[in-house]
Amino acid sequence: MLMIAQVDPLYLPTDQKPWQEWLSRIPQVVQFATLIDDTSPYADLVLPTTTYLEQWDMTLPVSNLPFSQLGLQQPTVPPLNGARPIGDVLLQLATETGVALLPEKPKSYAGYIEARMRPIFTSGKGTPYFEAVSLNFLEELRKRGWQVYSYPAFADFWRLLQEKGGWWDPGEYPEVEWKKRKKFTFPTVARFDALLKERALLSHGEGTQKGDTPSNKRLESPTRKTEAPDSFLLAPFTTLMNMTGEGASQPLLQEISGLIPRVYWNAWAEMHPERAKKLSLEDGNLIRVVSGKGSVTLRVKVVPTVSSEILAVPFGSGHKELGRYAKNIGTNPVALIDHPVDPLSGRTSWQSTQVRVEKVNK
Amino acid sequence: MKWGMVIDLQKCTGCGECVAACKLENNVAIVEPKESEMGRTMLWMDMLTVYEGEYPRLRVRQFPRPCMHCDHPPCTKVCPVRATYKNEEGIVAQIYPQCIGCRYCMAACPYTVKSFNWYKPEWAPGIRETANPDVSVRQVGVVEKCTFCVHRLQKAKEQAKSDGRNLREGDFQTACAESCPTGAIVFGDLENTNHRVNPLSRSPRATRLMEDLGTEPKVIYLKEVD
Repeated sequence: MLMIAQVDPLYLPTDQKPWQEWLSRIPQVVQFATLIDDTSPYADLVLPTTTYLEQWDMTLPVSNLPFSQLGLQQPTVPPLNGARPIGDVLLQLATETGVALLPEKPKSYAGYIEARMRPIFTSGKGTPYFEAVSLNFLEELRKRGWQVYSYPAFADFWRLLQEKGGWWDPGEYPEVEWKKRKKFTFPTVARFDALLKERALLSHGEGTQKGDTPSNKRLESPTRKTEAPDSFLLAPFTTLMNMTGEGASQPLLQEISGLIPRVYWNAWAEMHPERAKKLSLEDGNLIRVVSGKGSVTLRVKVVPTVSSEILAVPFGSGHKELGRYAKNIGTNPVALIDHPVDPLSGRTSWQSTQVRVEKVNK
Repeated sequence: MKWGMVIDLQKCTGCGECVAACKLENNVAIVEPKESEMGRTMLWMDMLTVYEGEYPRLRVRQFPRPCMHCDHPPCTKVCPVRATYKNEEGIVAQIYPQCIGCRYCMAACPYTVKSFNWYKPEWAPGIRETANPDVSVRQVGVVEKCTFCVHRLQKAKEQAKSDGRNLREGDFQTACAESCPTGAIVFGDLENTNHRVNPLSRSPRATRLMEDLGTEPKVIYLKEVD
């Protein structure tokens, strides 16, 4: 039995064919969702759950920061229409099946989260989120045995976590010099090299020389470079209105998701003016974008904000389900992604698919 | 009394919250995908984007664009049936039942703020319940645009009258100003020195769109500081 909660793998940038096969093979798939989405047809049972506004949770606000962090999500409205948060469902299942998730045996998911925060408090590491405090100052306070905030007891720490929205330990990484200013930005070159060594990877960059930064070292195979005049690297991106596609169920958000390029209800393809000129393309022209995985037809938006080798396509429309305002409306660039594995993280990369562009005369 | 709006572009992040708030507040119809492709999307509050310079010195400037509620509005002058007029408080208003849908006003508006209602407004079940009962829906074949949320002004005036006092700053806010997460949009009486818009409209950063046309817009932008 597989339980899927609050994620839509049959829409998101995953390799969808294997997902379809896996889900078809699993005897019982139970999905917890707020709407019937693209994964629902593969579930045997779809149960209602609460939205993020109605439930407690622990989140990772920014997934690729090189230090420990934890976001605390709190409900802003009580659950509507009797839906239950997934955390509470799992806790009840654990209790009924005699699985002790924590020695405290919390009665609710909020209590479970609170209990999970205790070891962080006991460790004395990090601090609830703060603003406008430099890392130097944080380190200095720590050396002196002080904290940014005062939380002598767990109750104080828990109150602060709720007020500030989470915990982090940016002191785990040293500051690096960037643009002649001491500022935390990226992991240092040394740390980057250590990562390469750890993963047994070689850099295709210039090698470790004085002045090198992680950003000018290239790991991707040089053959991925786009040199043909009609060749681009596909960069799917999220829009503020539609994010990862959930907004598509709302007609208002579908309509204004393309407010900047003035394309409504659909995706578009952003292309640099120089490349557009070379391909005799103008703003609003239709193009067919072809990759090894498939092809989609989109309107070109000629914008100077995109790099010349990139074709940027917003993510969020082109659902197969998700209600009457999303189903079969617009285009999902995921159909083009060939899912190469990023050698550094080991995850599939969804921003390095090479695509070809053809003008559609219509 | 002269209602006006100041939009601080230094504070505006281009998030589009004002656009969404305006559509919901004023029951602005959602146009289906096919009609939208024909350029029939209706936005009383729009978000304009301007690209300046070239990489690496490229700047993307975004600015919210409601109706400018001009002191010398070109749209009212061309309306053959007086379906659009400037009221005594400076708001350029529309009388929907009077509009014959000739769209002269749309052609005359240099800011392209007016939309033509191509369809009978319809809301699907579930969405109908979220409509604002204070704002009438516009019938097919008429022109519509931003009203500076005049329905809120009417309510605020009635409340002030029943309280036996004058209208105060903050009694009446447009939906866009109220929803702006950075406080970039400020609304008030341009002639009242106690209203924030009064000193802001005289700021050295203050500018108006297409000032040279002599339309005297009552939406004032505060320029970004580079």
